[in-house]
Amino acid sequence: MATAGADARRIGEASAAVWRAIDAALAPVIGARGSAALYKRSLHLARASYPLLADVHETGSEPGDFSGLRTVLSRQTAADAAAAHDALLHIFYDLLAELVGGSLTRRLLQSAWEPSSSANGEQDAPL
Amino acid sequence: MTTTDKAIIKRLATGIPGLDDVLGGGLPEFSFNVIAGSPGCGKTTLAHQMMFALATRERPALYFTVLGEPPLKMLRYQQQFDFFDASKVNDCIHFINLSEETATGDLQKVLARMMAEVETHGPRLVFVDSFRSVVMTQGGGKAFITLQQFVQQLGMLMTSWQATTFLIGEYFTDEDPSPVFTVADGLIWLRQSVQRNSVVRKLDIMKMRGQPTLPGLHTFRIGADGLRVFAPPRMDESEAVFRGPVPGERLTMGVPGLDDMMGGGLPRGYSLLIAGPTGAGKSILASAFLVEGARCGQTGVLAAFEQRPDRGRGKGLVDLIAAGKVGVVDARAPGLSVDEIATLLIAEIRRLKATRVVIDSLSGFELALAPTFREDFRESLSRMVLALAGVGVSVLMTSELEDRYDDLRFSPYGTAFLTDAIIVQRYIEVDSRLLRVMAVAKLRASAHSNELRQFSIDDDGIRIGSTLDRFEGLLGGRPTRRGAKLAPPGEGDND
Repeated sequence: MATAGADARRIGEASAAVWRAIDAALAPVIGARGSAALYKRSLHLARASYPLLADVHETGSEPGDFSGLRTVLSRQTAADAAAAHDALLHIFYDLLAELVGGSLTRRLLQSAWEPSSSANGEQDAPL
Repeated sequence: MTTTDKAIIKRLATGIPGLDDVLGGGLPEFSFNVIAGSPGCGKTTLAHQMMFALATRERPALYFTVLGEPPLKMLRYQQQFDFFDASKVNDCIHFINLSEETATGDLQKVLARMMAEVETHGPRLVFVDSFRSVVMTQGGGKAFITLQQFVQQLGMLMTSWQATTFLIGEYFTDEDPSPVFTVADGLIWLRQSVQRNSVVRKLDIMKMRGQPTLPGLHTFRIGADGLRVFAPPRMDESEAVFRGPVPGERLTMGVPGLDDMMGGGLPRGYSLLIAGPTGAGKSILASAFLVEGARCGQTGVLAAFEQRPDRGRGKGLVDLIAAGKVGVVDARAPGLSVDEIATLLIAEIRRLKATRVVIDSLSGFELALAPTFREDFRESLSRMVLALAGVGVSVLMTSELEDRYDDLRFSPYGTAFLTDAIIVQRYIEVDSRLLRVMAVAKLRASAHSNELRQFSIDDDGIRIGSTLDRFEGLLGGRPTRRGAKLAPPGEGDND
């Protein structure tokens, strides 16, 4: 998402979209609060390397709301925003994988990586 | 004429070893089941194991998690089992968390969300874990009405969606007036029985509409591969076919002279009890029986209830075990049940197509049982021996028996009546020496020797000697001499 020329604002938007997709994939399975708890824990861990994320943590609000992250990332340089987003994503992924294993993590997050695929499409009989 | 119009109830194979037998042939499709039991008794594991076994793309599953165990933890622990196949998750198995809806305390909301998910995924299997959480969110005295409506609506909806449904719940007493029990087609109760310091897991099908379940408590274990239920021993008569005709055939014992004493050997399909005091040579006789079987091309199975199954049995048997010609049932796990041993034995018999089985010893067997099963030892043993004999397997059991010189006894359990044949061994004192004697005390429907024969044990095994013609009062332990000096063991064969 951090394509050349993308400014921090767009990175903030894209990041929030990614997190909404992740939350949409996880919340039904582990609960909205379970998903939110993992997100907040990841922010906490990522803050050590990216202090700029501290503001998100402080203002962390309702489950499924990533506007805080979007706002904070939008205020950074494009490079910093992209790096912080990547780090946060990795930490979250590792955290989940440590809890439920790599293969299940990949299964659970699969739909988040494949935007707008309606999953059941294959089952429709062709012609 | 009406038979063709009957609804056909398909039965699903649960994928849990032994459970289908206990259920009476599997789980009825579209049934509405309750899995009940106290915390930690294996309900969630049972549900997951069935779900992963049953779920396919054509038969998708929905697993609703309510309050209670956080789903993240449930997934973390359940994936440790071999049956957990992560590739099925979000493919044919969908986990749905209902904590938000449940937290509102409104069962209508819970039901609405469940129905929305059912419509989305079209599941053929639905699990609700745990149900007590749903119940508990209802406060006040009118709770039962609402709960009953909830359960009835859920049951009706799931049936019309043709989904086999499982409510997983914690219920503390059998007498719980829960309306759920009335609505349910099946009620599977998991228990942990504690007696002294042993804990045994048991399962009980309290209700299963439309089919003959096996009544009673059935033990199960939870291992790395999940649950395993030990149904009472049962072998199909058809399995006897590969063993060929039974009548008239005799098995040789592998001890020179003993076959003659038994009128030609042990009739096939018989059970034989070797009773005697410690050190008399029961295990050696049992080993000879298995070694002789191998010599005749027959495989065997040994259930040894001792510290080391390969110790004190002679090299011949140890080699056969190493070569896979004699299977060993490891019977040293704590808290065993007779049914569990029988299940392991039967599996091993099937694997090896074995015709000779040795249980050494009944005394050790009884000690290995969890205290809760000891009271029923005789009944369970009788069932097991009958099941084995029914298919033409010959069973040799040893039983430790204190020498008592004022009466003639064959076993401390009254197990003597259930065996077809009995060989009794004893110590006697002659010339300040402890000698051994043995006799065939019983051989059902067959001629046999009534001689009390002296025997000795050397590196080659058991050597049967002469009768002690010149003594009397042998069973009193202190025979009196009637005439000449007693011949030493092994030298009396020519008399």
